[in-house]
Amino acid sequence: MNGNDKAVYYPFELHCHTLHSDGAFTPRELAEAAKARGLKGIALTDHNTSTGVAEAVRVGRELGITVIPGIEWTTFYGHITVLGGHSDVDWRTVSPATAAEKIRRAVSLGDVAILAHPYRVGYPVCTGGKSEFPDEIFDVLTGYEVYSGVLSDPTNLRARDEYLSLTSAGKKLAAVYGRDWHGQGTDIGYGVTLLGISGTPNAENALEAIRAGRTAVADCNGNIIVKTPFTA
Amino acid sequence: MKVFSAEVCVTRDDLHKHLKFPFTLASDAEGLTVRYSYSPKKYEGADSYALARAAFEASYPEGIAPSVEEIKAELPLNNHVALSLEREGVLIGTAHRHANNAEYRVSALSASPGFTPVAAAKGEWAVVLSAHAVLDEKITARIEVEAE
Repeated sequence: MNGNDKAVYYPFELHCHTLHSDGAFTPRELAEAAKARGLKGIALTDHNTSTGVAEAVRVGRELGITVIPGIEWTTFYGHITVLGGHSDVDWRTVSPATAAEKIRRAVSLGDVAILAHPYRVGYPVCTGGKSEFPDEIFDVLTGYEVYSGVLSDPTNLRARDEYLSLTSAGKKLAAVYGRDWHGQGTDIGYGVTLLGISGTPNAENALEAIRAGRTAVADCNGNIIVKTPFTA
Repeated sequence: MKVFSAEVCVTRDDLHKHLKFPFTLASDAEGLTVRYSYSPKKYEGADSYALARAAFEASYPEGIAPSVEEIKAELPLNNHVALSLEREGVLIGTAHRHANNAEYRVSALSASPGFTPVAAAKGEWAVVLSAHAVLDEKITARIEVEAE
């Protein structure tokens, strides 16, 4: 895939919550659920906090699950998952006027930034669920959640169309899936992100796969739905 | 010892604002406990269905209409005002949860989920309420901070 012979593609879930925000999982339960689902790794992206990361990383090591530190900037105007754990951005400072600058800051510190569920049903059903950020963020983001939640959700059609349009126009955005996993439940209808990792499948190499565009969205059987049309 | 207490009115004009309520901790303490509640949580307005339908229609692709059942599944709509804690202007944590009645604790050794352990040192602190969803004309929030 994408001509990188050295990369091995592993299934990850890059959008997860625990009781450190509004999820039902403890960090341990999340890592155990990921293992039971056959995932190689997860990104912990609690809403506006990363206080669950230390426990998730510790349990992940115990279970053989790679845990990418992260956070979901859950702003009034859109949600952005920021993976890597390097950013010092206060989520409250992220607005349509500042989003590009804040994303640039996080990326410069070593994180990757992904626009989450761009067309989810928004306010007042889900505040910030539908992105109101300006198009300039597509010049600085690392990735785009092309599919979110249940794969057949109609809002994913709009996200997919926008993603294809943006990448056709030359935007370097990795294709990502985000279940927005909040707790136990049926696994039917969800997807995974496949990350083409060179070397050990640890968090830093997983981030590098996203930066390099070695990603694809697949269904739970591994069938690719959309893949990133570029490699770095 | 109670170090801060307030009853706050959050209105529709406050939607999508961060409302800061500073307080001073006069001396070092073992920890801080923040008790927070607000009401109403559920919005029962007659326009609920229309508001939800408009949100669905703004996100659905052309040619696909949301079903009545899909829209009704999101009712009742909710007010949502999340609480953060700051010390000397630095964010210590955010409790992005949907419960409207909660208690959080921070100390040097431990903290409630969402918050970073930090010493309850004397100085300037603030509770910040982030108005994610304000559907009722007025939400009443109660904040109480106790130092131990």
